[in-house]
Amino acid sequence: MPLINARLTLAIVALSASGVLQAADYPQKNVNYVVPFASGGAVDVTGRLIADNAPEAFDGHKFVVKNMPGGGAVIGQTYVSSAPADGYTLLAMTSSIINNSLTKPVSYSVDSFTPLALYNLDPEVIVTAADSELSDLKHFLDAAADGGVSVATPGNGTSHHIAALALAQQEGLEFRFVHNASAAMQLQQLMGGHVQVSFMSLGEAVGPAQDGNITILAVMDGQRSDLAPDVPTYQEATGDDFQWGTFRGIAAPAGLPDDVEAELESRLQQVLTSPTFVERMNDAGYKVDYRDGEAFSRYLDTTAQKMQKVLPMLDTQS
Amino acid sequence: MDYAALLQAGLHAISLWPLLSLLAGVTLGLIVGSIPGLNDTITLAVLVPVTFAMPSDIAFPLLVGVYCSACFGGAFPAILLKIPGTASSVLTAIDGYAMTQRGEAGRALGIATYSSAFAGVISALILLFFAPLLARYALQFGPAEYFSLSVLGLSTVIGMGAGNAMKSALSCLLGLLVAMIGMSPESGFPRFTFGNFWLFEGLPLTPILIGLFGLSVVIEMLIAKPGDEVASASRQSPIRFTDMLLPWGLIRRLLPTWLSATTLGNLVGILPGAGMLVAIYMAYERVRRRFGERCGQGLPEGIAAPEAANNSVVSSSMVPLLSLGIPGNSTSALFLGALLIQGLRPGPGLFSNSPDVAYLIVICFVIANLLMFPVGLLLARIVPNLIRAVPQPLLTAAIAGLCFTGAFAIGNSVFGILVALAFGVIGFGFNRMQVPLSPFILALVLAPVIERAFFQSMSLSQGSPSYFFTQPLSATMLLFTLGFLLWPLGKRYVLQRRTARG
Repeated sequence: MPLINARLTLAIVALSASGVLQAADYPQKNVNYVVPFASGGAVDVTGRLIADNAPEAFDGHKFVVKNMPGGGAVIGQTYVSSAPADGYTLLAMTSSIINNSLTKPVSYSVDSFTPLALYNLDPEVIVTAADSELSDLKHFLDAAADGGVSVATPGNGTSHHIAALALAQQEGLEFRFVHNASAAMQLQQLMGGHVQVSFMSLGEAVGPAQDGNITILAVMDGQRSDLAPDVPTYQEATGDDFQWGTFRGIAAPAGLPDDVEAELESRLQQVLTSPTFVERMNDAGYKVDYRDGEAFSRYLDTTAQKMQKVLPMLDTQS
Repeated sequence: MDYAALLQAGLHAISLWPLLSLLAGVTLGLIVGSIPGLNDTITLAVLVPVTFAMPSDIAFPLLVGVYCSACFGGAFPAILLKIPGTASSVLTAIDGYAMTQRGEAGRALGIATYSSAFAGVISALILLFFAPLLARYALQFGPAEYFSLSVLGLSTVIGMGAGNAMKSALSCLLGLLVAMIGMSPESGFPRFTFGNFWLFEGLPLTPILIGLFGLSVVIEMLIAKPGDEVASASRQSPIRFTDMLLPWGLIRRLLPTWLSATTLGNLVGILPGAGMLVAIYMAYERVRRRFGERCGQGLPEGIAAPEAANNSVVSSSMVPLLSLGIPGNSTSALFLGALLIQGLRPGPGLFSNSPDVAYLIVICFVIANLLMFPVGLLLARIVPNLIRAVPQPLLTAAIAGLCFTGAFAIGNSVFGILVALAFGVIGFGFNRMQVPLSPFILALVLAPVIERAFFQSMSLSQGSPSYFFTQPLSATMLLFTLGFLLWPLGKRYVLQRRTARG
């Protein structure tokens, strides 16, 4: 008899508990967090920081970071675009989603995803070696107008390459491009004096600039950054406006049920704005800049428009 | 140099918890290194987030331990089963397995252990005392120098075919062809991809290696008749400690090889992106040049050179990271992440701003390489005897299982398994026709570096090939390449003259 009683109580508790969960039956299990790059990069490191902080906001369920590198992030992005839209597969979404869908024969577009949250914006900067004769933006622009400046990029078709092309288009400049396979090689060539100028993210440039190994000429943002307060914006230095940057955010496959989307958005906000997460991101050298799904969508649209303008210059079929 | 801080960090490193953590790291590194498909990069990627919560004097010993010993762990399956556990031991398998077949597995493992520990300690000391100096030298390497270095590296394939240069050349050309798959680094134009996005970035290297070396052996085992077991060589008498301790005479004989391989490993290792493989191939080539035909048939130097070179590269890849903040390879990029998370930024300021952690890391490299010695000998005592105890069918299945897991884990995709399977068959064919695999691997790895450096140089010199010869370093390396290429012809000419006269 006591046994039956206990069973009955258990059943009733279980029933009522599931009743509570019914209002929002998400999350029920661990979430796959797909990083479309190899381990070790910025997207991977920040993704693992998010995963580390996620269980608190996701009722103890974990984020399982899955690295799916290859094809310039195409493989991971394709995987998520065709994954079930149930909220258990998320994508670490970066600017590459826009250039990939515009320049490569892929099966998805930006609309194949539901943007959920943006957590980091990294403005583009123009840098030179510390002892370079191109000591400020004016010198650089003059030299580049004559077509004699060599520019290192971390790879053909990367956001940094496109930034340089966009600037060249707007200002009528001509660059000699030196494409690399990584940001590390790009930095090595700049510091060794083999190339004159690099286009990179502010986050990557701040450290070597503090060491006095490189000089940041300008930051391509609406305002100066706290990370490098002495560096002028492009507009301050030239009078023309030119803004560019990479972003890091989180998205799910398109077609998410409304309640799951709302649940995910609020829980992700909780993770991405929690003091521990923000502090760890700061320690790792990334500034958290949270935007919700709607703001992220708008940001995606403007970036896509900017890239579309440069597209004809990115001659991948030659 | 701040000797007080150095001494303090040294004492700290040998206190209980840091030392235990280092020991755990070394053991873990040996284990993951000896499993084909698992390597230091994957392990560190998993560990780095775990270290967020640890104090830095526990976190870094653990990471350093794994990084140092993983490439040594790769030598175990290379010697015992002819399956390199990591890419850094592909050459160790040649002479190592030949020794195992002669029943000298214990001796071969001993040579690997001594060579790794010796080179590792020397290179860690170089890292400690000369890092800033070497980092400046690394910056001298521009596109032209990378091009010439890679061409020089590629020229080492000439003698690899055990006397059959045509087979070496064939293997090398096939490697270059496979390397062409994927987007052009210069224009982004997709080559041989047939619109398939899995091929955009080329075929992934690790599944190829797993297939060529791991699955090809599995196929070999499957078709072998019962009785003439392929892995029977490692099934001879159990290995004893005394087999692994090298006599003084052999140590004296190997010392010149260790020194030259360590030097090469350090010179190539400090160049970001130049990599492990160039160093081990160049070190092995030196041995081959000295010993000729005997190399490849179980020559102790054939194990000593690549094992010494790969452990040197591990330490020296930290040089550009610690003194300039530029990670030398994907594994040291993970160290960069770990340092940043602990609130430390690598660069010229690291040793003056936080000498305690900076010196601790470097000293951990020294101690980890010392610890590798006893842990390695202990593992060498256990693992081969374990392999002997497992029946052949189970061993084959276990190796196949590990290979498939590793090939899948790289990109979390079945594509990796397909690549590994395809290259398993190719590797089997190579072995049957006695075409050497090593030129294929080297060409596959170096082709993208050569191509990229070529286009970079052309962009900088505005299309003038004389650029490669006007840079002194680059010109010297190209001259050496020419010398290497003409060497066999010259030797034959001299021999012919001599026989004609005699």
